[in-house]
Amino acid sequence: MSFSSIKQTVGYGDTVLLHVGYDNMLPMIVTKGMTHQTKFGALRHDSVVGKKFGTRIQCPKGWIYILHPTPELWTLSLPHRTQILYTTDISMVVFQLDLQPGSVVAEAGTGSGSLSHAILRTILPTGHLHTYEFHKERAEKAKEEFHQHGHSGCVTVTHRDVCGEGFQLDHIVDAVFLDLPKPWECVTSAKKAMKKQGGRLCSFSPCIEQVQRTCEELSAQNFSDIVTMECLARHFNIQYAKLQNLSFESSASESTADKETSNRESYSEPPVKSASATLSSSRHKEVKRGGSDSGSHNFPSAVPALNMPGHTGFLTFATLTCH
Amino acid sequence: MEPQLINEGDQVVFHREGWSRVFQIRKKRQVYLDKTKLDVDSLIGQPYGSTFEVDRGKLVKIEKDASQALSICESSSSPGTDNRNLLDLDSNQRMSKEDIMKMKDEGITGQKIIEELIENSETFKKKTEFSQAKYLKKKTKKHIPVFTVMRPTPRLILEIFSKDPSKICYLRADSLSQLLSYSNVMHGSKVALVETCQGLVLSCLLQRCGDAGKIVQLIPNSTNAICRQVMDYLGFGKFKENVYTFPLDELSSLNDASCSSNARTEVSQTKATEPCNVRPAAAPVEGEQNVTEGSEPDAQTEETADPDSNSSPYVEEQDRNEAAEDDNIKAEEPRGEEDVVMDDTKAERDAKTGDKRSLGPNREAQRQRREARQQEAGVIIKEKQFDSLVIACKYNPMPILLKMLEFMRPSSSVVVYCQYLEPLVECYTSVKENHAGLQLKLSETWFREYQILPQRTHPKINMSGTGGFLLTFITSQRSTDSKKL
Repeated sequence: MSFSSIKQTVGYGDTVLLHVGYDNMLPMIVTKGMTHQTKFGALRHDSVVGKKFGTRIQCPKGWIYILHPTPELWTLSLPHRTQILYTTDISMVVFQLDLQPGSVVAEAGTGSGSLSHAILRTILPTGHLHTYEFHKERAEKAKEEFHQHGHSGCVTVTHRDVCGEGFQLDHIVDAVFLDLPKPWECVTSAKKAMKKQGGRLCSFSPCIEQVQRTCEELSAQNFSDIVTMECLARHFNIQYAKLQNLSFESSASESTADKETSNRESYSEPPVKSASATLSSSRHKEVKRGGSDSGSHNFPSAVPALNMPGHTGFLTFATLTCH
Repeated sequence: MEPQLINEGDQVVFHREGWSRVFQIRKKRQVYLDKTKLDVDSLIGQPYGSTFEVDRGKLVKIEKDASQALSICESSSSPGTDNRNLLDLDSNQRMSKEDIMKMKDEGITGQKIIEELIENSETFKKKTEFSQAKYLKKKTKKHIPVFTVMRPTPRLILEIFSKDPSKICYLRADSLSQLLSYSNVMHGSKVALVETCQGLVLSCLLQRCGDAGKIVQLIPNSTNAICRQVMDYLGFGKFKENVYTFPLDELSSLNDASCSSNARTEVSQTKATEPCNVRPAAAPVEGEQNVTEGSEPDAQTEETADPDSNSSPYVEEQDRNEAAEDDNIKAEEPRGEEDVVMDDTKAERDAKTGDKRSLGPNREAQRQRREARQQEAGVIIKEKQFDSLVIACKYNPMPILLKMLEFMRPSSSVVVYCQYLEPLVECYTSVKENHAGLQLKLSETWFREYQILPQRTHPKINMSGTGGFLLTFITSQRSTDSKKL
């Protein structure tokens, strides 16, 4: 239930997110009498009921936190049934579609529901999401999830291929989101779904050829302000870096001392765990050295990840004015 | 549903590709747009989404098909294959700037001017088809000023600041949108906010709260002006009552058991010192009016607009100075002058301010109301149950962050935006050391737009180099040692 409104304490039936580690988060539906296995040992569901969200729970072999679900945390922990959209793109979609409480949105396809949760959070409690999925099992699974998350009243999941069969909505939505192999085939149907006063449309496509065809169709159908963009998140890893200072005077003893400290304290992933390790270890060393370390230049640094996703998809937005 | 019509008193956005301006529609009001004086009376009663062309100070509505035709008016003659025979000479265009100005004065349409330009161009016919299209697009943009009238939305308002992003701390669509997502602000949220983005972040959050929820905007102190101009653009009506203001420098008094009485004495102290610095003190009163005006039964449209025009000279002035400090180039930019409204000259505004000051009892009532609101805000803060904390300001975020963490519930969402990376590195380190947050992430966004045209698809030639940096995390249970914070 805990997605649709903010709760203080955990109750039966709530979806909670177990924060086990930085890259280790598990969704759990709190069920009477059930036990959940984590890497720190067993967690009895009953033991978290009545606890406040954000509480630290002692498991046999370590701590875990129980977190209040948010669409962003859900995106990181949801069971993947398809490729999903991530928060950088999702945020842009929700913002550029001008969504707000009360908006009516059509989405195709539902996929794993990563975007759907963010849309629902924004349009609650008076808005409505019509979401379409051509894969029967996925559609059913999504429906079940929305129900568990307390969204039943705000969402309609339809099992249908909108390419061909269309949205079958008659001028009722403010915004349309398309994540389809052939989005250009759905522009006519999308236009029919959009309110007479107009609205916004977004199409997400990984390939530029898809974008090209979609843009041609959008402009043929009188959409205006057609804009295509790409956005990628660059994450920083905070580490204490150390660069050796070279001396301009000869000193035999100094060079050996430098060797010990000259290696940059580099920490590979996961970034955040290592950062805390970096901080504490380097602090200790500083204390040991008593700040007398003139042989190297030490500084905290925000280092971008060595590898990062280079492409997710192109986002195309367009406006439909009154039609 | 019928198309929505433009009414008198509406705030509207004049929009064209990548560019927006916001105006309030009032009868007999003239606005400046691209140095052209415009009468906007004719917009009243027109549906939103209508497109207009500016023709010698008049707005001429363009029908859909016509505006489409404009962009496709290609020349029929056979184009060249490449530019090997084209020379870059001034004499390529036989028409001079004076000729064009003369034509404009004579009231010749932009369409006709462009035709003349093509006719008098040595090189146009030899250009490639794509080059011709580019030329036409450029000239159309210059000589046929066309724009669409839209209802203001955060997306369009962001475009207003695209010329001067320093006013909104260099927020870009990607950073603002992620700020909103990671804050998890939704219908009914309780939000603590520190912003110096002209009310842009406040407005976006307020919109996401809808008719429920509470936003406490923390301001440096009760004597400085806060600017919330964007709130007026979006016209929140009674939702404004969900916004509270509380001075950061009175936060410490909240921790005491005798907090309420403390706050009261501090407020009265402020009152006592007020006559000495009339101007700065006047501004927050007006800022507060924005919040409460919905509840004022005798307030008329005319009057509710006044506080804004009163406060704007001061705020603008302040901003101007800051901008000058930040970046000399920015000070050169025309800021808002284009939007300055004819009937609201500065002298008039000053006169109105004078009127306001003479209304003693009114001011006293306002002050009492403000005091009451501030105490309500204090109660909300003391509950320590904020769902979200958002910081997007020109101040050092770290002290604000550490202080405000005291008032957050566990498992709440925190977003700190900053145009610089270094302060966020400090915040990150501190949160990490104090075990105050989970899912700690420091990021920036790479953002690029594309030109999509048949056989000419490529990234836009220019892109934004920065949209600032974001630190996001989820608060964890406060352990005993976190009290050291």
